[in-house]
Amino acid sequence: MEGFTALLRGFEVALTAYHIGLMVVGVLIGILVGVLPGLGAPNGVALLLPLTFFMPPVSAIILLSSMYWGALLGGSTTSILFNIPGEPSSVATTFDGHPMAKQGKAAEALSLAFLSSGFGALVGVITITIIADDIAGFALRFSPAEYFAVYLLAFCAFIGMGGTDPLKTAVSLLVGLSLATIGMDTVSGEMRLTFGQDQLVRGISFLVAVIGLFGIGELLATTDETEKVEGIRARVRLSAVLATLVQMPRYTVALIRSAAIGIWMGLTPGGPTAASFMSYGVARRFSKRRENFGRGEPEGVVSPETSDHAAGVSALLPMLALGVPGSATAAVMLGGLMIWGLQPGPMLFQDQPDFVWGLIASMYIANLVAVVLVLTTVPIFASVMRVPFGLLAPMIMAICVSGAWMVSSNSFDVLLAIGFGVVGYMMKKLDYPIAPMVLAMVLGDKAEDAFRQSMLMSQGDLTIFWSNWLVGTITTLALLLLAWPMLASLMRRGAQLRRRPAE
Amino acid sequence: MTGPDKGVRGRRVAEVGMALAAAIFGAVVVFGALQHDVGWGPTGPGAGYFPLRIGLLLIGVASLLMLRQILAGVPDRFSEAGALRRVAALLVPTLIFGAAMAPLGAYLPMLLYLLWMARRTARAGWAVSLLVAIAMPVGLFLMFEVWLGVPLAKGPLEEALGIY
Repeated sequence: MEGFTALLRGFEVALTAYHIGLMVVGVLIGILVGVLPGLGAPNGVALLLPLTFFMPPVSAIILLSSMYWGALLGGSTTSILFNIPGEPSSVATTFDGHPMAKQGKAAEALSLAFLSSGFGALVGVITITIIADDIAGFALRFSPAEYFAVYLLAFCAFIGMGGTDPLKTAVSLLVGLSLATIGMDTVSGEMRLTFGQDQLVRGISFLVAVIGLFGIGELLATTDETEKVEGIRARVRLSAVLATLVQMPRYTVALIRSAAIGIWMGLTPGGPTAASFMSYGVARRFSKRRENFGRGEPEGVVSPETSDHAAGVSALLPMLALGVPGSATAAVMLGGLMIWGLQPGPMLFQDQPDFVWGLIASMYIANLVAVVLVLTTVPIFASVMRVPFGLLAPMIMAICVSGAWMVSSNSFDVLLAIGFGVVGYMMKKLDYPIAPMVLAMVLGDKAEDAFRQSMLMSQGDLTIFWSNWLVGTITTLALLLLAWPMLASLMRRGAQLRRRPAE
Repeated sequence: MTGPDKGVRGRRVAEVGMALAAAIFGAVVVFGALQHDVGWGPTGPGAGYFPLRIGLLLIGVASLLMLRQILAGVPDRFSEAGALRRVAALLVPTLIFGAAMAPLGAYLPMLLYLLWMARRTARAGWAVSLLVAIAMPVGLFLMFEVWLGVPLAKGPLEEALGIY
């Protein structure tokens, strides 16, 4: 019950007028950011981060996390009404959400999406509440070797379970790790990979990279696609919401299954995007109305939405307790934590209980606020999408460019962000995942430090990563995940060979 | 190999080019790492130890990707006709805007950039264009400088107007 009293303390922190005001502001900015093309949760958080330096950390994290919830919901809105995913994690929602809207069931689709999101978030945050202390306590036993193994697990999980081309994911990761080494080496003080350029001594800010890759790159990619935006007008009436709410028990199995998938993918760093796709796939596979999927099946909206939010919420726990973010947005928040002077990890739970439990308590309230706000403001935000993209794009671009400048009042950062924008555009066009690169940039230094400390402890002996059952299990699991794509394709080929004679 | 439509080879060229760029970046990382201690120093692995291995891995993975594309790449378009021109129409003015920020401050280039984009790319009327081009910098100024106290880039215009 220790967690429960801590949670009550957290509610005391979160339930102040100031913090509730921040949640409302955060959610509204988040919905806007989620609806606008080119602005998503990761770079929305990156753009807002420099503005939080004057706040106490707990207020800052409440603002940023509320924005994240808003962005997740805003992303689903455009998926359903415009067939344009505002967030990569709401791509799966377009499969059935948009067909539903086209059949005149837009209000039902939106209510379904928001209510399942709310359910996913609730299950996610309850899970966090229950297991947070145990995970933190568990992590207290970690030595550098375990930390490195956990980072390795995070990287390998992206390659093995990310759902994208493993080789391209690996390239994205390795480029991110390389970028993280630029600048002054924390151990020896040597300048690495700067090639005599003073601008590179500080290293490359992950904020600049996120603004470029996710913001500018996304805008360029959207400009590239010719599809005309055809929106469906929708008003969500209270009666429609209530009618949908009554129907929700029909989807109990899908809800629980999707929440479980989402929480698992959030805790192990698969991320919300992979979670929503996996959940959609599983739902289609086990549904009795399988042929209806892709043509406006409500379960095809419920499943990805539930997982998306469950993963988004639970991704914050490994970020806090282990310093390993479960999604790109959590990675940006982790970077923020370090800028605010907080050291993520199990000690955070002992040194800063108000911060940790204030955040967890705020997640209960903010998600409720988010669902209510998004249901009432959908028509307003959807009208933003009626502004021609040609007009919208330069305005968002101006925000991204100004945001890149604000990171450290430096014009080099602006050009760097535009450069990252071009790279992000190419990566998007050629199906390279961007999240691993951001994750690697944030974690790179910590992973390297953990590795060097482990090597120092063992005098360069790699078997330290199997020196006890804990680190051994994590390392082995990581390598298994890394090998998974190869194993899976071998098994598939084997199965095909066996099946062939029967045909 | 030149079929009726040369565009279908675009994707493959881009794929190989991207993998090649990654491999070259890996080589730069290896080169940079080699300027440091890549073995053991008094504080454990030297400064170049980790980057060297990351760079080598990157070269390896990118070469595999490149090889796969050359051997088994499927002809496909990189983008629809005219798309790259639209991208350039957004990218080039943005680049000029970004480069102009340091000498001229954020606000004047932003105004001109938005005006140009609204008139030339979005083909909006003068009223809408001017509204967007003026409202946006003013809005950002009020939000960042007045409300939040975070300064944006300043240039000679801001100096002349006395806003600092």
